[in-house]
Amino acid sequence: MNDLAGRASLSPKQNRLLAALPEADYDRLSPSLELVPLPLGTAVYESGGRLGYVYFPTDCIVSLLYVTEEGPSAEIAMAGNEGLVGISLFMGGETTPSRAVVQNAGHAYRVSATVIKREFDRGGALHALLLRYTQALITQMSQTAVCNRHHSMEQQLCRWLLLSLDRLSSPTLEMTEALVADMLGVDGDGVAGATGMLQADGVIRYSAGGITVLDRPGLERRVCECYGVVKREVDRLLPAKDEQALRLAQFIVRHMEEILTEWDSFALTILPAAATMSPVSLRDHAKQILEAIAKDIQTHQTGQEQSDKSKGLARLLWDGETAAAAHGAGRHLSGFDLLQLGSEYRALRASVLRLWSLQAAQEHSLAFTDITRFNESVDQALAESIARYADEVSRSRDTFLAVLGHDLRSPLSAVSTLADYLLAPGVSEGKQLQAAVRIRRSATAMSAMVRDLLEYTRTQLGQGIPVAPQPSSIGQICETAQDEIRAAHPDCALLLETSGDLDGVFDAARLHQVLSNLLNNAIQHGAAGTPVFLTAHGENDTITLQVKNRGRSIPPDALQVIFNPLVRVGSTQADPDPRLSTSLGLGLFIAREIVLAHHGSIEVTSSDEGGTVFTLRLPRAS
Amino acid sequence: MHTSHPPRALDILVVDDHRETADALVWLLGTLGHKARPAYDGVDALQCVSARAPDLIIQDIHMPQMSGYEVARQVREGHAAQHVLLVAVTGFPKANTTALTREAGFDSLLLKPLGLPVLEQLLAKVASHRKDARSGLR
Repeated sequence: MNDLAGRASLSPKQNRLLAALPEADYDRLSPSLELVPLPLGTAVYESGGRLGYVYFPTDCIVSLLYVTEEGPSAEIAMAGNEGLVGISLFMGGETTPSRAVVQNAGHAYRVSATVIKREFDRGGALHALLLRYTQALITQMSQTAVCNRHHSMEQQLCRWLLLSLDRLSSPTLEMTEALVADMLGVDGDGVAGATGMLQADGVIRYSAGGITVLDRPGLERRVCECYGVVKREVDRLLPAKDEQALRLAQFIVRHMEEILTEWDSFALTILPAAATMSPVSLRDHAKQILEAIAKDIQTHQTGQEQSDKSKGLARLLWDGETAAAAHGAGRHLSGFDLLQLGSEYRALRASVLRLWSLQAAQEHSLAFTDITRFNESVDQALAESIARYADEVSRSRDTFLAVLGHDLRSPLSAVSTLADYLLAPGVSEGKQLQAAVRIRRSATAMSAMVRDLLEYTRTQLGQGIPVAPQPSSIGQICETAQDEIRAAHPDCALLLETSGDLDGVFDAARLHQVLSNLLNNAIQHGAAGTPVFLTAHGENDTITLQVKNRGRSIPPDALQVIFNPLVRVGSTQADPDPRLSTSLGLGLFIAREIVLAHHGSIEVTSSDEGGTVFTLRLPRAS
Repeated sequence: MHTSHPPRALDILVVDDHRETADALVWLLGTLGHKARPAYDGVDALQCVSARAPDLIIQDIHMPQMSGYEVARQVREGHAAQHVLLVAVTGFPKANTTALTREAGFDSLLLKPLGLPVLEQLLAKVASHRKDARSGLR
């Protein structure tokens, strides 16, 4: 092929027949394809003349006409990028009475007579395609004969214009009225009348050396049935004109970004928690799942395998976790429920199939197989996700029960033993008092746990945490919290710093609960001997609180789910974060619920240098 | 000559990640005339043991980071505390808890809540065990 072919617009695959060839056949033919320019009026072949080549137009139109002995001619058919010029070369006739003239300038790829005959005689895909094209051509010719005989000038003109447009990429035909008259086999006046009417109606417009179609639907309304007949036959017999219809697997791989973007934005709409996950982590699994599905669709499947799969007997991959299973675990961690997980897959299915259907028309039998395989694959992935999700739910519940048993039984045990002691005879008053104080401490701890549990249950039932905002001062709340913490932890340094206007409308008791939780955490997990900082700053409409401790930082994956309840993060890590693995994990969840009930926000950052910082932002009046 | 000794003060280590619980038990044991100290995690517990081997360790099984089983194993592996009486305590026993405690080297398993009679019984047993061990050495 020569240099002109470098430009994409002149690729041989612009021609529908060449594009429809299977890769192997195309590759074999391709070296023989020669790009040639075809100026307006070029005689591709003359009546009775020997054809040296077959021409596959890319962006030109060639008219097949017959010139009568008296002079007038008529177009028999036109050929553009939907077909070829020179069927006599492979039909066996070698010559033909008609002549072929370029009606719209452009380019074509030509193949020598020898090569085309050799390729045709192979009897393969090219052979079948060329025969089908010939049949489509016959239909066009037949319809032209009928149309010329029975339909009005205007209708014929519309048919001709529409057929031409289908074979070009622009709405302008390089034609003069005289040439159109020639094509239609009439004298100039007849055509002038018809074109005049179309122009008057704004359907077409004359410009320098060309006719521009302004209103294609207008042409379609005026045309006779002949246009439709010819077009339907061409579409029925020949494969789609646009880019080669992709099989679904290739489509998924090639349009991965587009599909993932749609899937991402859907995931963000169904759960706010998903917004805390970075797009990269959402995509990680999504991409792997899609790749696995594309791969699965492409692998050959025996009839038995197909039947097994439909009954759910396909091997569930437990060895080396699949992306889908990991996805299920991840979604559980992020607080998705099963309905949401299912919706995700439904969205994936819809996105992929919708985007795929926007492609050019598929060959039905192939498309059907592809869709069936795709659906099976998605169902498989969904099953894996759900199985793993359910697993995580069980694990969470077991952990919850174990921790509950332990957390409540411990202080209960202390109370029980101390109560026994109190009941024993001969205990001095002083000792009684000390025992009672210790009982009180354990009881308080248990009480807090039970309260947290009840509140958590309430949020799960959809009721949220009730807050009763009253005019109060954050400054006061901070000081109260500071006093309480200092009393409970006399050897810990707690530094309080306030600034700005700290008055507003808040539920003081609830915010006290939040601060207690954060401060206790900070003391328990902060590095020994380092102080804990509590700051409150009021500005404009917002009050910002921060609780900070130094010490070992919280790992990033734990940070993402730290506000989620009952999450046991890090059990597989060598060094699990104690904050998450022993407690019920409700404290921070409830703290966040309280902040949200005040229409505020809470976030956490953690690093070895900066320490762990919880930042609360509360609107002054909610 | 055979003399009856008053109950000797035992050196007891109480290991529990719940501070109030550990402290309460330590206080109570102190009131009963023994020398008790608390440890709130496994690392702390092992350090205490290597500093001074106690007569008895009352060990909560379910702890973060190092579990009670792990502490027991390490105590048994060390030479200083070979004869320490190791008692496991749990609030959430499972089917295999008894087997696991035995494997780890515990001498017995008690369930929470720990009643005072059970505790006194345990202390008496430890005291006589100590006496026997000492007579055995002569």
